[in-house]
Amino acid sequence: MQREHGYLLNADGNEIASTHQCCHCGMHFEIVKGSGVQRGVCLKCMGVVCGKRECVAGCVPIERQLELMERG
Amino acid sequence: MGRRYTINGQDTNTDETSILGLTSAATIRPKIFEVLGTSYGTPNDYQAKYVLNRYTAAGTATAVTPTEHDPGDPASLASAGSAHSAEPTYTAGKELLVISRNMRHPYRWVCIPGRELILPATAANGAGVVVKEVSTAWTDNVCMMFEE
Repeated sequence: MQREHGYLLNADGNEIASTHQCCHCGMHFEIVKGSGVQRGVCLKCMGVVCGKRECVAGCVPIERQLELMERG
Repeated sequence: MGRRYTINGQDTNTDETSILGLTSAATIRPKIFEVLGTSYGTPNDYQAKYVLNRYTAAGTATAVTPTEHDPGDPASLASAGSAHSAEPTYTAGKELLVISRNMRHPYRWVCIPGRELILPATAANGAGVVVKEVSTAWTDNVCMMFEE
């Protein structure tokens, strides 16, 4: 599994949580063991996905999604 | 590395209102790499959830001028606004970051290089920090750093 992609820090600069980035929508999210939230892995991108239906249903990498947004 | 800028905004964190928004331009893709939040006033055990969400129209807000990290850089092409009087048009299901916080605890989110939150190169598109599920509203300060 990949290492974390972002961190939540407190006022003292200590890490209180880490975040991973969805390789499809680009969202950063915390992975909490036992939360019951289902995430996933895209074997095309070889990256974690956030678990949203559209991110799990198919592989549309973030770069492609940005192009689609720019196309309107 | 692109040119780096900071934007900063304050507002009362009433439910479903935006505190700070960053709007892209047609020629650049702003990349948010840091978000900070601090509160004003007497500390209390108040809670709120902040969502950084993509939008397709910037709404109406008090203009915020991005401050360049390198004084030799030109003014940013992206624009920003805080304390919205007309909310941006947020896109459902396009959250980029969700932070739950207590008023007593400032937060700082930072990502590793290459894992920034990227906004499309489209005018009026952007991302804003919108408040969800606040227990008791307080005056809050949100700061974002981005590069373009």
